[in-house]
Amino acid sequence: MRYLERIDELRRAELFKRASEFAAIYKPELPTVVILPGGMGSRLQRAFAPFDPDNLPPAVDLYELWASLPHILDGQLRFLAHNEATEERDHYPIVPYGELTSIVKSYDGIFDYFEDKANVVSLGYDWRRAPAKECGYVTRFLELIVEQVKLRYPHAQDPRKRLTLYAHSQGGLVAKLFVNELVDAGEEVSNWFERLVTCCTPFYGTNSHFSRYYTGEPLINIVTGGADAVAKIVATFQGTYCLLPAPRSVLGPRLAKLGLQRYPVRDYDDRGIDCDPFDGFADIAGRYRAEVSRAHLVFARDQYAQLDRDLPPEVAARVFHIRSDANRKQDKRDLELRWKRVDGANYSAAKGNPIYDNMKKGGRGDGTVPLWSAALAGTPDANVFDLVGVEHGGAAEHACSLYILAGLMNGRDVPRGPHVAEADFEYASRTRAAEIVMQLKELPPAAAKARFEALPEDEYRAIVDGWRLSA
Amino acid sequence: MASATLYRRLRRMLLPAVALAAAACTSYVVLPVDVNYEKVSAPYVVTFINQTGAPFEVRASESGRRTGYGNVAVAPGGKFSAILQLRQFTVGAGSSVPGVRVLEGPYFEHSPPDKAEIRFAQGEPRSLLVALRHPSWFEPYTQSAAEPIELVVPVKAFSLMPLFPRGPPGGP
Repeated sequence: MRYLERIDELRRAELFKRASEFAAIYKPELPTVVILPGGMGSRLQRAFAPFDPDNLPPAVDLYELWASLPHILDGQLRFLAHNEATEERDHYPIVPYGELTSIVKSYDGIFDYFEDKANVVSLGYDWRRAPAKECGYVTRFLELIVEQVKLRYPHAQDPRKRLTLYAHSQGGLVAKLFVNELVDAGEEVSNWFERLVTCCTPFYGTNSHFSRYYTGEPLINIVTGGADAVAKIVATFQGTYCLLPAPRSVLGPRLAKLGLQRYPVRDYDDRGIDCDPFDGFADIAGRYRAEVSRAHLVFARDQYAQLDRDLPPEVAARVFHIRSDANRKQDKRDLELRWKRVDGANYSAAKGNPIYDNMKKGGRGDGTVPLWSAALAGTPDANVFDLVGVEHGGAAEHACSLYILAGLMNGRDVPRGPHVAEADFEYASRTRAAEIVMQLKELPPAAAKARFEALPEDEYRAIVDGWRLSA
Repeated sequence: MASATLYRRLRRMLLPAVALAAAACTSYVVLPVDVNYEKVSAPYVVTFINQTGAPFEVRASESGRRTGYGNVAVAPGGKFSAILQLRQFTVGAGSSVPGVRVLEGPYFEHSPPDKAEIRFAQGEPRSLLVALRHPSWFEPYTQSAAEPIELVVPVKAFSLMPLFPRGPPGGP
């Protein structure tokens, strides 16, 4: 048996367990909500023992790696790195395990809100892997849910008939490709779900992920060997390349529909030059650090074509998007990125971040996803809902988002908005968040965890929502 | 009064201890992995016809390289054939939701869940994905002798839209 085959078995085992547990508390009279968390919003569990093809135990012991504070502080995020075949380098299996609940608790608001109103379950996916591959597990999970519910309630309606997929951020990419596959396979989509609602999904990329290929992720760098080490780990993830801004081949024909004047990635020094991150020309490819994978870039570029692909009208009518402009500036503009021409082959994080965006100058977006990126061009305008003042990290459980979601589920005529948030979650500054992580690093793991969980809400959220920036 | 004081003292001593013990714990799970391996499909020979207008190279899989297979150049209009055989399985006690995996071969690789991937190079690395879930992949196993069945896939362009050489609707 090969390593990825074993990973596949473990993942199906996890989905089976999850579906069984869900069926045990399922209420046939209620609709169902399946949550697809954002990238980094799914828990990743790591096996205690390495893969051994000659010894496949009937049960596997797993501990939480992402996002268990003691293990993060211990520098264990280095174990997330993949080899070229997208296997864990040390062959200790890592499998997703539902949404994060131990540190990041940004989805429990959804469970609370729908208590006694809907059956709610989350589907964890491996955000390091490509959505084009992860989407197959959505199909498997829904089949398992049907099987397990039918075992308990043989005469109940198929849960998929009243099922809403609620996808936050990167989860929306997985969901869109799941819908594509249903269409491609000739399935009747209404047999699989009633509606898909995405919240702050970067269909055409993020403005926050690009810099990770140069300078890692600030808070994680502190505990994972520094910015260069984290940048190298990030470069091994095939799945997160689709968080780069979409290629010109995809965005070009969509500019007017998305409300853009021009391709939104510009050369830093000469703003007249488009800089498509997926171009193979020396001037572009040469800007990347050596560890950035051309194969992963090409895969992500091809995946973008599938993400952007129009759905048949009757399917597109079932797709809804919630997007947010959290920018408080009065003078608003299209969010753009600028990319400095750097010598990627000889680059180190000490040289600084060559990626800039105009968020501070009024660029519209939720802090992670530009406004122009958070709705598919092919989705009817009437199905796109706007929020104002809601940041990316906690958007899925924000009262405004849940109001829209519940309205759609209840067949209410929900206004498109903009829905102005009376209050967003409070956030401490990024500097304060970094300061706290430095302090935590110095404490023994148990004390660090206790201290972390005792943090005031604004500091806590500044750290956990910050970790889910690509989310 | 005395018991209230005792209670407060106990609470002062016990609560931090309990909190520390809880903090030291991390989410730990035992995951049962109950796998049933089921039928094997007939062997298929998938023939790719290069209709891209430019040469491409078919890349050997990891196990192919290990067993001496190499990359193969295919000129425009040329053909390349690769063997593909599948196994069905289920995971979970009593579950009948099927999974499909690719048996080890020189060019096709398993791309979980339920797809085969074959890698190419045409200036840059490319992939094609083949959807394996349709039950018709397994029909010939019970209907005929296990002789290879040829499936023809014209390749006009590389796309991540999965191919459906068996089963409805849109074959390549």
